[in-house]
Amino acid sequence: MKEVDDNQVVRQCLGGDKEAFSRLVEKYQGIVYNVALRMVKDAGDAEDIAQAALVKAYEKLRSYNERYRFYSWLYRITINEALNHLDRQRRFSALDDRTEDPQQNPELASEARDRSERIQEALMELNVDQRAVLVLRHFEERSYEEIGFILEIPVKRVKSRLFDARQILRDVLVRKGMADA
Amino acid sequence: MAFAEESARLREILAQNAEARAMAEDLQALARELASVERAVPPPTLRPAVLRSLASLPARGREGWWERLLQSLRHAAWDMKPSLVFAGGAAAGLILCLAGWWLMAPGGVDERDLAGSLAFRHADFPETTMQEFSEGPLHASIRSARRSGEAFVRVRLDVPSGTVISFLYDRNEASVLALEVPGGAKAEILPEEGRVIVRGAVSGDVGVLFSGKAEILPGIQVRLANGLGTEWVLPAEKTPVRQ
Repeated sequence: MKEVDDNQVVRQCLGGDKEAFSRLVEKYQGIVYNVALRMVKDAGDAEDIAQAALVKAYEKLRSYNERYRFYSWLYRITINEALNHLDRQRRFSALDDRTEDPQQNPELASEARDRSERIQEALMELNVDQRAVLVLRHFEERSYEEIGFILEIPVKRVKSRLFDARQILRDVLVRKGMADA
Repeated sequence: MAFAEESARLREILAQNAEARAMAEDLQALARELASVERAVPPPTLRPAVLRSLASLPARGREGWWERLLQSLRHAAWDMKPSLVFAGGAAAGLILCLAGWWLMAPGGVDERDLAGSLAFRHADFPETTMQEFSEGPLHASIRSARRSGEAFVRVRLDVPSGTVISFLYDRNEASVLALEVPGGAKAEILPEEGRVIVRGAVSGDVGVLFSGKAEILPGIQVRLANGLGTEWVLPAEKTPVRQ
């Protein structure tokens, strides 16, 4: 299958060819969904965030600068959507105390036994800034410079945040019996 | 080259320092653990849902010259060193402060025509009432200012998503001249009902400028509804004030 040239597709979209954007959706829906999922854990929320991020990317297409990689820009939008979602959730959870108890849901409890699920749970114990940097580095294998661009922070801060995130995640995994002390 | 040098330096440190070796092993174990997490397959409903949303949006055209200028400034700022960006921001802030001071100075600008400007911090358009509202996660402060034939009501918000803000006014006595809402919020003016509804505002300022038929406008009411059936009614102004 022919590789899609992102910048060429963006130019087609900006030229009025709306259909062209569907090729970018096809190409990047996987990474957008995975980043969202690692950030928020819930599959339904991740789908909502992925959808919002891809639609926003289309809406903001004119602000995209071809000097940067399209997917780096898309990562930035996705992370911001995820952060907004978590913020809204935090504000709303104070109003709505009907949170689901995983112990009372056999399906969730069985999922929780899965190793990936437990790592995801451990990830959720990090703060959102640490989680974002860890997801981009370890799940998406982005460079420090790229993470700096996506999160709009200097590389130095990427490194220090990543160091803290790894330390905390390791402690959480030790506590959960998934790593040696 | 720099990478090769760094690698060599790291190997040297690891060879000499047991603590660093243990740390590196920990890091490798953590990386292996994270690498074991499988990538999730996006749900099959995602792509059609995105395409459906795109269908309702207008096609993206090339930006106008002012947008290109703003974009180039933004991109240039990104490429610059943080210290230069900071210095540029400080200079721009100073210029804005000076411009603001000039605009606010008596005689600087004729503010009688307020439509579209929403500038109300002026001696002719003083703040007349101010009230704070706080319940659970909802925080709002309501300020109102009046002068002859006009009223400006501004709600400063810090509310959960799902909160709906309504401004109720007497449609026989007043009309909406201008509206300001924060990004992400959607506003609807319903002149037949005498109501302005703002949805999706989470933080920021929502301001409505009203114009009245008579010199004194009747009181304007602000309602906050949390989406769970609870509503708070807040009279923005207890007493209309004549200027």
